[in-house]
Amino acid sequence: MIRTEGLTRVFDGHTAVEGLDLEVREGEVFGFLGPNGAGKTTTMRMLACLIAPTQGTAWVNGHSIATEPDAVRASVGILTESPGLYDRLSAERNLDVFARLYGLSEERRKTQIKRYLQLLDLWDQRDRPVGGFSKGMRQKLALVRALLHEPPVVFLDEPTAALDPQAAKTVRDFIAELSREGRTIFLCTHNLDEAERLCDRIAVLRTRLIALDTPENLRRRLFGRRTVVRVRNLAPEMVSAVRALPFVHGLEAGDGQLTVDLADPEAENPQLVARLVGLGAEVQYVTELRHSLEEVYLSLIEEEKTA
Amino acid sequence: MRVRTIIDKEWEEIIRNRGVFWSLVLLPLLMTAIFLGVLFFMHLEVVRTGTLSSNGQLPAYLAMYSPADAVMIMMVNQFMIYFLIAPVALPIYIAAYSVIGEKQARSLEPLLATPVRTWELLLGKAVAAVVPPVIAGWLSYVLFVIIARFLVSDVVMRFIVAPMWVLSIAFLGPLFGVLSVLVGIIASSRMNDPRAAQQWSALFLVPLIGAGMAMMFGVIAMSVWTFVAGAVLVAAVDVVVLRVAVRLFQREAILTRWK
Repeated sequence: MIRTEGLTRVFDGHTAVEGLDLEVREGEVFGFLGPNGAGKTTTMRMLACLIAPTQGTAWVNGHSIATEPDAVRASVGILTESPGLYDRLSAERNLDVFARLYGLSEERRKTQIKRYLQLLDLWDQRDRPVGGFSKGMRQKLALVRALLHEPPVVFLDEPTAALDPQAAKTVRDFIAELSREGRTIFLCTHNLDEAERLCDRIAVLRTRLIALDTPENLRRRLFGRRTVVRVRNLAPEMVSAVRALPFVHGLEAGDGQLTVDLADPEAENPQLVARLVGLGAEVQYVTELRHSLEEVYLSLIEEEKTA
Repeated sequence: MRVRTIIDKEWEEIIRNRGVFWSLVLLPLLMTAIFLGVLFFMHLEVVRTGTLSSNGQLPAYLAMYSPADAVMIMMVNQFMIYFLIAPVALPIYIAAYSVIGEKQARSLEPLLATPVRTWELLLGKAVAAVVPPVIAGWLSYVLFVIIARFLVSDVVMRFIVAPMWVLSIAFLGPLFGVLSVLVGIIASSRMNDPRAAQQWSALFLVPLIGAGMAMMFGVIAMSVWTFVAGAVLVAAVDVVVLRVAVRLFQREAILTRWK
């Protein structure tokens, strides 16, 4: 659905994005993470044909950003970092302006505006000038604006930034709903919890692409897989016995707890637990140690810095 | 279709911005009222004394008229310049703000992300900025003609509705208006401060006022042919300036350098 080849953008001698190669699959929520100035917004702008790449190219929804910018623009929706609404116009008129620019017929405009305003609980506010809207309402309206022409690809730049938790949840739920409809969503965000919840795959950018995979695979690649076993009566011989197991790659013990590095926990956990129980251990619980996406992200950025 | 959408949006924003809207409506009406007031007091003076006195020597081209008519014609010619430049002067501030306003509201990026072409955007903004002042100017002129009929002699009236002025106000003014608006839009798209854009745009008035003065004093002899030639020339310049405006409207620079 989105494919980039060596996408590069240089501003006045400063490289914002360098040699970006990636492929976003149809219907996936693709998280685009990176520190400030990493080139996330620049990449999104290139893909939405708002700015041109210095080198390289990309295809969005089958259209080349270099040779078919109009077709690209018509097939994508974009939620920019700032909602950018016309404060003096009503919510409905704001949307109508954009629906007309996307070439929607009058009947379709009315249907679409009503549908999305109702979906995001803004229908009752449709006649109010948006200058009086809260941040959350403005963000929801900007999101609706990006979807009126039913684009198969949606670019979202920090969709929940500066929103209160309730408004952020509404927007997140709506993004999840869009994903279920089969749209491809390119999500630039600093909110790692949001990326974890929503994204099928994530890319970490710091001018160059640092990593690209599912959150789970990134986690495993960086930290391996670890099982935590809590034992009421943990004894030194139990620790030694576990360390001696051939599939155990690493072990930390202490405070009634064993943290074991495993390659295939689904296959190895039963043997591990059986060995402990055989030694008289009273196993209280067994769980997988999951590193947060934040730990993954920070580790990747740190690796990149040191490299 | 997209040009019309931009025009509708711009007009709605103007109408909803009371300060801008009333300045567009009231300023021409106020100026017209002042002109009519001046004529009214001149008329009273003529009724009372039978003539009008001028402070200095009247221009040679008025020598054939009575002193009262000559003074009134001189005044009326100056008023006519206003009706000619109203569609040029009034929209400058709207035009100068048109792109900067979008930059400030951060609405330019979503707008440029739509399939709208640069020429459609700029033409829409230019037409939206120039039409209200042109209509306001025309209506003010019609009002002026209707009321002046009761205040001036037939000789003076012939100057007020002289084909040179009527054609100029009807066609030349709006064409110059489009030109001034495009200059304002160029300034607006190249600058980040609306005040700077307005100041630079206002400079465009100087040559036009000069042209009006030249017409008034007969330096430019206006025949139908010179009028048609002038109108065609200004229309052609409008098209060229629109193309220049499109070239100078650098989407990337506007999006990436505006903070």
